[in-house]
This record gives sequence, structure tokens and C-alpha cells, in this order.
Amino acid sequence: MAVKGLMRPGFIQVRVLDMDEALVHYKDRIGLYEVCRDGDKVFLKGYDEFDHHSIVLRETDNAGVDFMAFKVDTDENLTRYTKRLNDYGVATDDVAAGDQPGIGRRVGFMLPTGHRIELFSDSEMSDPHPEIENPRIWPVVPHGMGATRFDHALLYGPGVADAVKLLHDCLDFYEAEYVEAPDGTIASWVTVSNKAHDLAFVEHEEPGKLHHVAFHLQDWSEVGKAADLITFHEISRDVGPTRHGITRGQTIYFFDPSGNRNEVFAGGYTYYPDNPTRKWLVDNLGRGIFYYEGELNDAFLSVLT
Amino acid sequence: MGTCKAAQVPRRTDPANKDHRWNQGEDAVPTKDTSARDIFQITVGGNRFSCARDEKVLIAMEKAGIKEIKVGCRGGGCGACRVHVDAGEVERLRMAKIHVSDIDADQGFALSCRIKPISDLQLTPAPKHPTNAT
Repeated sequence: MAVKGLMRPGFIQVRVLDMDEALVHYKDRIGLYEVCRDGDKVFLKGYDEFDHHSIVLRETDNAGVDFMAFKVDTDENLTRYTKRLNDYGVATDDVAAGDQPGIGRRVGFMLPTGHRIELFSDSEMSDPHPEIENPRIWPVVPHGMGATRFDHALLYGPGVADAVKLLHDCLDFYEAEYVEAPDGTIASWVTVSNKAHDLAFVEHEEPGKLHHVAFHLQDWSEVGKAADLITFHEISRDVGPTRHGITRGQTIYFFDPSGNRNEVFAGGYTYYPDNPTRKWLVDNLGRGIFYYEGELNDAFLSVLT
Repeated sequence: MGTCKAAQVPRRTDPANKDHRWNQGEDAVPTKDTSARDIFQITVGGNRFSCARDEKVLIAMEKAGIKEIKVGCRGGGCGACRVHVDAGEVERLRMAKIHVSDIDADQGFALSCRIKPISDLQLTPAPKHPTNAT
């Protein structure tokens, strides 16, 4: 692996009902920075990201996710991954460079779960980004929850096992953990990097649904500070602070003003591709999801956008 | 032991604290006189709770400790708290059209996290499964 080829989540485009409310939430509360605007979209990033943007908000009539894009190390490898997808029988389409500001050409395809995934290899840098010469720990003083970066998303849809096989066979994803029910895989956490997950899925009848978009925080105390801010600003809270058994992340879940679930989290183990895939039996899922409580709440599993 | 008399603990009071928005409902602009707010009665299933004119119905239900309507995202995106307004008038805030289309809205459907009462209301929970069904 050595984090060559497909490297990491690049950005995700999320639908919001009211851009002004969304910007207060993502900028002032979560602590992201606005890079630029283009029509009905606003482009944001965390202070610890080099690339042009990592979150795209699009104002429309519904909440949810438009697509998630992963970054490839070179244009040659972008072409190779496209060929592997096509050879596997997956149709791809091309998005011209510059369609999103600062981002080169993209290649898109649909997963069986009904989610659009894109690949790209070229991004300009934008401010703020980590300093490169004699770098201080931040280029700016973090504000709000102090999210360092966009980290991962959890998607809901049908055909999770097929989606994970496709991602493994065509794009070099590895499955770090999964949940096995009597009738098969019902959830899966997959990675292209050293992180315990870059993307996760839960089996669900409706295609294309979003469970959450996650941002990384520095440590557990920052998760506590996020909880303090959620209470202070009366942000709609879902669950936490708590810890996951799966991935071991320390976490809190809440909703943006359009109802998209967000997570801010810290920790999680370091993954290597020779690690066995960790298995959870469905009757232990409560402990897997909420390690301290040991049980799920109904809204966490069923509330989606 | 002699007769125990309740001690008078000298406590400082902070008159400004009653203006805190937690004491006045979500999104409320602090006012000195909370009695001036219009309060309506919301009936859903066998339960009844109070909701101020400037308060979202689902939030008022949660504060009342009632669980008649499912609570989801509280932002108009997920559809969990979809209801039918059987009687009464509401102010509608924006909500996802996948859950409440314009036709649905004309027929009285709404997400209860995105409505504020203009009168007493009678509601019936009306979740849609799957959420994108027509």
C-alpha cells in the first residue's frame, strides 16, 4: 500500500436547505473555513488540509449527499483506476477540470448502494493550509470545534457487500471491519489508508442515503469541547460523547440545520492492509457502535438524509 | 435532637438569568415578560402539550416529555417527524421536499420540527416509508 494510488477522501458535496444557516453551522460551529463560492455552492475546508476544499455545500430543496470524491496520487493512476472500473463492468463518466474551482478532471461512477463516487488527482492548494517551512502547529488559531479536516462518511443503501467488493477489486480499498447478520453483511468499514475507515456503509433498502459526514478533531478533550458548544448553541444533538467499539473512535453526533448528521471524532486505531478484517456479530452491534452504552438507539440507525 | 427548622440559605439571585433563552424556548428573542407570548395547545394522539407561537412544535413536544411523534434530525431533512395537520393553522419553515412535496403541503402534511403554531393544533403522525415514496 504505502498510501500510493488512491490516497484518501478528497471532498464531499452535501445538500443543504438554507445556505446562510449551513454556513453558520459549518464555519462558526464546526470550525471550517470558506474558500470560495460558485453559483449555488460554497466551498469549505479545515485548517489542516492542503487541498483546495473538502466540503462543498449546495443549496437545494432536499438534504443529503450528492457525491464523495477520493484523491488519486497521479493522473496516470487516475487513468488506470478508470480502466479497472470499466474492465469490471462499471460505467464511468468524465467531469472536466475546473468544474469545481481548484480541482482537476474527475471521473465518476455509481456504487450499487446508489451513491456517486468520484476520483480526481489534481488540486490546487488554498488558504488556510498547514505551513510548509518551519511549520507551526496551525496556520490560523482554530475556532469553534476546531475540525482539522473532513475525515469520512457513512452511507446507507442496498448491496453493501457488492459495493465493498467493487471498491476492493477496482480501487484497492481494504475492509477493516464488518458486521455479519445471518443473511449476510449488513455494515462495512473500508479504508484506502492507515485510518481505520475512510468510508463506511450500512445495508438499507433506500439507495443513496447519507448517515453522516465526519470531521477529525485533535483529541478526546476536543470532543468534550464540541459537546459543550453543541449545548451552548442548542445544536440538535444525536448521540454522545461516547466511543465506538468499531474503529475505536471517540465521538459525538449532531445534525446540521438541514438535518444532515455530522460527527466530530478523535482517535481510532492505525490500520494496515495485512490486518485481519475484524468481524462483529449482529447481536454485539450495540457494543460495536456505542462502546460504553452497549446498545443502539432507534434514531441513530434510522434517521437519514 | 431538637425541632429541625428549615434553614434559610442566603442566596444571591441574578435577575438577568431569567432572560436566558433556555428559559424561553428555542430561537426566542429574550423578553422581560414571558406572559406576553401566545401559547397554543397541541393535541397529538392521546397527548396534549403547550407550544409558544415562536416555538417549533417538535421541540415543544420534546420539552413536554411526550414521545408521540418520532424525533429525528430536527432540521427538516430526515422526515422522521412527518405529521398531518388535522386542524389549526401553522407557519411553515423550509423542509425537504422529498418528505413534504408542494402537493403534500397543500394537503396538510408537514415536518413537525419545521412548523410553528398560529392556533391550537390537532396533529396525526404521518411518517412515510420509504422516505422517497410518493
